[in-house]
Amino acid sequence: MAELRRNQFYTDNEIGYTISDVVGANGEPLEYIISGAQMRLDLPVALESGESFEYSLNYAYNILEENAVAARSGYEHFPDDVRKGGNDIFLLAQWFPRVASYSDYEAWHNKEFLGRGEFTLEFGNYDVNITVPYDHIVASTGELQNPDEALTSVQRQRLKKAEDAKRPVFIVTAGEALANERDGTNKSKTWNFKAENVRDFAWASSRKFMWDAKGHHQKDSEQPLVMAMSYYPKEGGDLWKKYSTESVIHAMDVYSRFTFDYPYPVSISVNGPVGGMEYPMITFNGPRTNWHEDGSRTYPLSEKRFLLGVVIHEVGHNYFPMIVNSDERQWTWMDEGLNSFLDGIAGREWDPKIPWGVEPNDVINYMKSDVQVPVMTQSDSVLKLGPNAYTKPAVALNILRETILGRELFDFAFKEYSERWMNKRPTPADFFRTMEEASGVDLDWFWQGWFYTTDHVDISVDKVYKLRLDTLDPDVDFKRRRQENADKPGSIFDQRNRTEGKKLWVDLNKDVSDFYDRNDHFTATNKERNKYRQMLEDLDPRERAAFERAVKEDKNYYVLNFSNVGGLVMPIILDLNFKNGKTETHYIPAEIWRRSPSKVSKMIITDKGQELVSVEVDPRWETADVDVENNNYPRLIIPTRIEAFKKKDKAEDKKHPENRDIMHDSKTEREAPKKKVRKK
Amino acid sequence: MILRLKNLIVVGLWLLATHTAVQAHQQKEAYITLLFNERSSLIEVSHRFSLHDVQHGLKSLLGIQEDLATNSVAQGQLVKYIEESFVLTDDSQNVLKFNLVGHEVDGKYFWVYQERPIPDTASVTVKDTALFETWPSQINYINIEKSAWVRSARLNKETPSKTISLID
Ligand SMILES: [Zn+2]
Repeated sequence: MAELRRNQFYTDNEIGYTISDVVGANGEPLEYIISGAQMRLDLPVALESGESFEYSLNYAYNILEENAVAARSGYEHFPDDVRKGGNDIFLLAQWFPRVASYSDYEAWHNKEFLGRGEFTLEFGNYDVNITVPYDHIVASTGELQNPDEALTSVQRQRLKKAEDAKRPVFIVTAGEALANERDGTNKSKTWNFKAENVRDFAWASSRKFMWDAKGHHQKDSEQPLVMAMSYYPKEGGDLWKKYSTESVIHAMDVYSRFTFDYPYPVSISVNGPVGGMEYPMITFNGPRTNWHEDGSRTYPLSEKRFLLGVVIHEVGHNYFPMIVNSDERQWTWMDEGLNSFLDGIAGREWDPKIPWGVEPNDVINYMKSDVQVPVMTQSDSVLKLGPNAYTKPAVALNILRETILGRELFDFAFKEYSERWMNKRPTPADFFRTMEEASGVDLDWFWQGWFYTTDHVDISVDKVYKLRLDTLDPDVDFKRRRQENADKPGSIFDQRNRTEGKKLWVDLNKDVSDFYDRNDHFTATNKERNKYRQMLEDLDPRERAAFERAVKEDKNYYVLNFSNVGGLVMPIILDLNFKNGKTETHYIPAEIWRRSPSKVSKMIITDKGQELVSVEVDPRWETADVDVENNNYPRLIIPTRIEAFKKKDKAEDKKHPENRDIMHDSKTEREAPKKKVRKK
Repeated sequence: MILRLKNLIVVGLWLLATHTAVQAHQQKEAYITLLFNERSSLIEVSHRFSLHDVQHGLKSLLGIQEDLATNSVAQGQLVKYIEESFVLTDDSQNVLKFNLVGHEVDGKYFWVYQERPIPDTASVTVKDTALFETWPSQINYINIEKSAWVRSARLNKETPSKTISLID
């Protein structure tokens, strides 16, 4: 059905721009050619570095119906509104022809828009006049230049009050928005917005919008006040009233700590038909409430999580790629991956009980599959953008921060990257290089494995064996070996004979015996004792001291064999469990694999009493190891997901109070208990 | 060459911007794992859907808007839908029937579990059309896991089924 609707929309509507009047500064016509989604304009004279060229053109296009074609902008029609003919929400983006980028690594960027790889854009200054019906509220990139004309004095007062408010203040209340969407108008009004040094410009307009705002104060910043604002129809309901603007502020709070202060005067979240899309200073976010017959609106838990997550994520895009201006059409991960990494941090600082889906464990189903391309693949050729450009790089950075570099080194390096590439165009190499330079740690192996291959993490501990240092003293060593021999299980034949009471020849004939009956083959002789003393005599004093110390300490020597089944090189995190109940965690750096990437051995030396009973690789699931079955030595029987599910006590689940649907259940009417019909 | 290039200004024109996948946070993907459990001689199938995705899918497909995180009737409807969307056939085109083990909400995911004895077949054809009607961009990832290997398929509207060899 969705596909039919899309095709019908294309059939019924003229799609794309019509371009006319392409002229230079003095009105002279310019040569141009339109090829697909690109247009080439031929300059009369070549431009030298630093020179500029002025031109203008007229264009027109039909706004898309977002729900019909699923675009990153468009209108949504509300036929059921009280007003005859209904109302609309307009989300305007990609609404003017944008100048292509020219970079030092690609020259002109000629990759056409194919639907997935987003945008490669340059910074520019905008001065935009937007004329809309008089009762529309406009949200836009930039700063409103004519508040006296566009807003009422009450709205201006409310905006002022919002600057220092603890909670969002309504500039347009729910009641005012409802009146607007009921009445309509024939008049129009022009809103003027200016934005400087932004890579794009988007806006939204509707008479359905309520509007709330709250000031976000940045200490010691060039932008001390940012107005966080949300625009939404009644369909957004309480979900938006409570959480949209607060999420906008939380996102700026957390992201700025990791990067730089938010540099724009406004940060906006608009509810409309687009699920989630980012533009400078303004984001489009889709979550809505459900309407019930009784006129009430509620939302499922997953929709609340979606709102928090999507608003934080889209606002986060102000940092990547709006300010750190990476090339989205080439490398989606450079903005989506870094942004997903940071939205995971912001989400877990909002409420860690909400599952945000950025833990190492969340990516293993994808990483173990055999249908993947490397993260570095060009955006339009990526097979599955979600796990590849969002989750996998986000999890990789999470591991880099928590497990490999540590927070101190990572956070300094990440901030350095953000500040160094603010308002510039970084490539992946710039990211990799800055993270290494600023942390002072070589990470070539890490970028190689996570970004350039489709390998996954699967480290197996194959074998553990114990070595013991011989003292070389024949009286000690032979005695020890005699004991080891005696500890072996004896012959079953011999045991059975004894049980049956079989008499042995040697016991029945004790009068016949010799030297070998008195001395077993573990008997030390002076020949060995002399050799041992000579050996000690020949050691130089330092060697002798070392040897004697080792014999005295009598440590345990364990050799652990590992294999790298998944191929992706990672540090080995080990828990060593000892007989005395103690556990030690060891961290073996990834460099252990440098000469032997598929199999390595590691010797672990422990004190005399520390006897190893078992080892476990990656016990806290930090590395996205896809198969935990080979993570233990000796092997354990690890139940499969379904086996574990079958064992779970289902009744336990019900006891969790957060699993009840209170929002819905609390509307239940009180009822008298039903009489039980008893059979007589 | 360089001078000639400077003679051009390239303008991105026709940004109709229809897209298939990108919107942040809507996953539009599910993971279906067919684990050959040699200890129990069972194939264990775990369907993992994003809770948010199936909540919307349920609304658009079946008109159900009760909260899936908690409402057991809605969960039941969804389980039935997920079971019916998944079809496994052996190398003689026999449909392999599964027993439902159960379902659960775990974190941001909705899980459905099925099992059956490991069949005597050299290959299986796996088909899973769940949520294809909801979003044209839905991808159902299949991982067939035996102890020695993992083989995968990406099923989407254009390619809703794939045959995978089970030979080691
Ligand atoms: Zn994004």
